[in-house]
Amino acid sequence: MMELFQKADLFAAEIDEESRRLVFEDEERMSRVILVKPVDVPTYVQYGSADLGVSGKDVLLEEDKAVCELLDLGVGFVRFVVAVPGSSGIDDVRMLGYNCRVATKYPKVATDYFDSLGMQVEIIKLNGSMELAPAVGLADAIVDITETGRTLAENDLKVISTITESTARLIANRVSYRTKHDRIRGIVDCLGKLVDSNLNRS
Amino acid sequence: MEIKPDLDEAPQRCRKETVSSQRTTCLLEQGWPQRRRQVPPGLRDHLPDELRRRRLVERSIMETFRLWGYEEVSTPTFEYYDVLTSGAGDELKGLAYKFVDPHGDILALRPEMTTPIARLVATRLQRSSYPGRYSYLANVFRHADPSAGDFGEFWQAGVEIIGSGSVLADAESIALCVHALSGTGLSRFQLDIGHVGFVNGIMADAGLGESEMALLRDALLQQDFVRYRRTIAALPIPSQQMERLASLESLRGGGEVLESGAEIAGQSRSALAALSDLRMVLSHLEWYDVKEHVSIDLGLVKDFDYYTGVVFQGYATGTGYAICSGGRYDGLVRRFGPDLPSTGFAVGVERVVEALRRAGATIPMEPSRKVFILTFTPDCEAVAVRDASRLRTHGCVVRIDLSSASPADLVDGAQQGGYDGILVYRQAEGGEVSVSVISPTDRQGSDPTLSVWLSNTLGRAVRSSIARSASTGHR
Repeated sequence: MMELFQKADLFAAEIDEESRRLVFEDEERMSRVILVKPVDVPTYVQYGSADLGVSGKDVLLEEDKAVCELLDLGVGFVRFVVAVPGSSGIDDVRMLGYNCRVATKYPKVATDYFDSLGMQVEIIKLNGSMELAPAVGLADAIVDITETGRTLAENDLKVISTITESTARLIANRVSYRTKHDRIRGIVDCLGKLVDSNLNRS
Repeated sequence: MEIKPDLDEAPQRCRKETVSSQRTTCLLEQGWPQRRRQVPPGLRDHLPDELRRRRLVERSIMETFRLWGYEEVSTPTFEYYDVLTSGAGDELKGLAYKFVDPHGDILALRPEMTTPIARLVATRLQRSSYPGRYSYLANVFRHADPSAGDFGEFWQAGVEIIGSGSVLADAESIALCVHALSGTGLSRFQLDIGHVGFVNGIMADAGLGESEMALLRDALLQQDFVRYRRTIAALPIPSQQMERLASLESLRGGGEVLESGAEIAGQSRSALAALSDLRMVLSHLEWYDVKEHVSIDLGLVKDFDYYTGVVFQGYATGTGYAICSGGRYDGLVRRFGPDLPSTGFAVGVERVVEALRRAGATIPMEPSRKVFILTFTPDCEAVAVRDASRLRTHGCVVRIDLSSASPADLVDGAQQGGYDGILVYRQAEGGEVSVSVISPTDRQGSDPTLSVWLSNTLGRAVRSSIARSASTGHR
């Protein structure tokens, strides 16, 4: 990511991820990078504490913050999936039956998805180790993100449905996008070209 | 001069021991439902300091409206739901607080002010010549997830120009909005001006149906440009049309944007008419000295369906949300009666207050008034209370002390509260009322002008005393 920023002439100062600092300045380019937890990125951007942010679409869908979504950066690909224990004999979401329990870190995405199918399920919000929930009988299924599906398979979970796909997005504060439009537009155009050439290479 | 020792021993009816120490128990541990003590999420109280800031902003904005010839009106806080949401679109219908009256009719708290004023003018203020210019200052109510700048109840100051289809009215509306904002002391803000007819014209010209247009408009409204581009890419239209639609996203800037707009407008009559409107608005704005605050955004899409022409939205640097919003709504008044083309805008008062705070603006103090606190022994009440009234007629703020704290304690409080003086009334020997004034800022010697002014104003001798804090001794 920082490599992209460097190429876009947005930020080129050293970032020492080992240090405990969270704010890094590039005085020459009049820019500042702040490191926050991925799930907090849209919040910092929505309130205008950061003009721009890089956030996964998964987080944007779940957090539902009012920000500008400027660019698909084409990296950080993950899928939102519904998974069930391999031994359950279920291979279609519709077979989950009504009032089943679904554990997830993403209650909004899960709720929207089952609503769209017209299914009433009980969403259980967990904060980690999703794979444990079906194993100990807390939930019948989970909604989680996965890159390759390998971790799920290792825990004897099988994917029965893909809800949506997610990649990293460049987002902007809605007011900054307007009041600093020329600079942000320049960054978007430049990053857009870099992303396109990266995609073509790979 | 000194405070006489006996002044320190005024009757002390209700000192602080009434405050119970029990109250420090953690509320969370009490089992008493928290919500009984709190307001619902998204609502808030305004404490004196915050309210003072808001009032100053409100006064400034309303005064600007008045100077431009707008007459203030007010409408009921709640009305028939059907009336309030007439023309505004589904978005607003979902946000309105609704309830049912005893006849079974659905009522709603007003979610915005343009529709009630359109109703009011159409049904009660028909006149022989238009336009009518109206202003309002009102609280409006919307279901809101409490997040950046969104509240369930908030205050709007706005105007409506009812009965003018001229671009002069659009220009006046935009110029007045800039002046109203500048008048509050806000300096770094910007209004983006667009036109409903441009976006719709380009989309219609590309052969899109209403549902496809709605999808694209929503992506532009949410400023989700990734979704906007993907939706376009999936449309069954020639790539040339796709490029036209895609360019809506980036047609922003000064007057030169109208030239780029002309290139993609093609033969769309709606888009060309929109560009001509915007060109005229910009040329009228020239004379209002507001150009540094306005820019063009041809992709601007608004939240309410009733907008039909020139629209605009304002932002202040340092806040994450719009501070004002407005535009032309030519079909709305017709829903209630006569067909009157109209335009107007609303300013989010609390958002301007927040923008000012973030910009580090100092909120101007009230015009300087003398502020007094008055304390007296019971036998002097008649004289003291009458003097208080007299001082108030001279524009002074006078607060009668109810605590029976000693003058020395009052000096401490007065230093925090910013008073000009404490007036102490007590009976001297011989039944005469003696009055002295303690000037809390003046510890070294007394300022004779205050006591002279008071003596002249009240028509009795007022001596001056030196402030002496209770905390620093001399009890």
